[in-house]
Amino acid sequence: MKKIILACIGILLFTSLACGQSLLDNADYRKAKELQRLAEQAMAEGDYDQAYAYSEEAKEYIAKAEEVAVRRWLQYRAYNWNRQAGDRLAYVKAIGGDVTYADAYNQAAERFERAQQAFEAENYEQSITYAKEVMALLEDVRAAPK
Amino acid sequence: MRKTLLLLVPAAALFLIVSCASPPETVEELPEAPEKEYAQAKELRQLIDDYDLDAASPTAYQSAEESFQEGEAAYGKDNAAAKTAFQEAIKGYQDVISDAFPQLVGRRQSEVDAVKQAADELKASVAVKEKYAAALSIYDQAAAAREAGNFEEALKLLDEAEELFKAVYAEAKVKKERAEQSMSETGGSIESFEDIVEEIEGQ
Repeated sequence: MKKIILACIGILLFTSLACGQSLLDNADYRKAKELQRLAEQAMAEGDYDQAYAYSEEAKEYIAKAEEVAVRRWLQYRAYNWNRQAGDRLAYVKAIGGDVTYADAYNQAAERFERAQQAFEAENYEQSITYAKEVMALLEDVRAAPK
Repeated sequence: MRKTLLLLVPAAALFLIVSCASPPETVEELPEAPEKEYAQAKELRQLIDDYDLDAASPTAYQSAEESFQEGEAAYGKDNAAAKTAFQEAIKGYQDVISDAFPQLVGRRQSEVDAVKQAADELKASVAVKEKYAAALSIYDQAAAAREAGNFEEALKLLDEAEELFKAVYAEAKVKKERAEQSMSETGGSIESFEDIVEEIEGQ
């Protein structure tokens, strides 16, 4: 179930970020821009109190937009790191690394589990850290020569 | 005859009494002191002094001053001459005032116009609407007083309007600067956000 949810999030992120939907296409950002435009208009008319009010409101929206964008970016990065870590873990298992490099594999599997849990908990920075540890633990694993 | 004498003696006595009862006046009384003229001259003189109106017509003012001093010198001694001198002083002072006061009000009007213009350029009529309207009302009253020739009132109103326009300007300036500061910060935040997005999407 977890994997399905992660996959769905990944698809959404991938389609939105990787397939051309800009982070600027964001309701809070658009609202901030509109409020700033209204502030400029009020300013030109001499309604300085209104200009100030619009501008302060715009600040709140742009702060929200920034928070959302940074979060989406972290989510996207965490998803990519988790995907790489999962692929690496699957590859190592496929080449029998879970037996020949059992310690490293088991530790990596445990880290991967934590990475996914952190992702679900929306703790994306922590999730990235765990996923990177998976990659580091399995870095030296090579397929046994035939 | 005796009867005639009896009638003539009292008649003559009565004639003598009547003719001696009211002797002719010998001391001539002074004309009444020209208090009214003196007071009016002093009032006009004070007005000129209060507003430094003498500089606009120095010759006329000097001539009026001489008449005023002549009036004061004659006052109580030769009141008729004092009255004439004060009347001349009054006319001279009035000429000075009628010449200088409109000029003075005109200069003050120009000064207040400059303050008002600064407030207008700052769009204070929008920024501090009610206070600007109050200043404008006083300014209009000053113009009406000037038009009616009530220069002293016009000057007082112009002083008041000037203070109000200065206050209006200062308040509008503070509001404008606050809005500019906020808009600059918001603009910076928007640019910063766009930079972050560019950086993210460039990776």
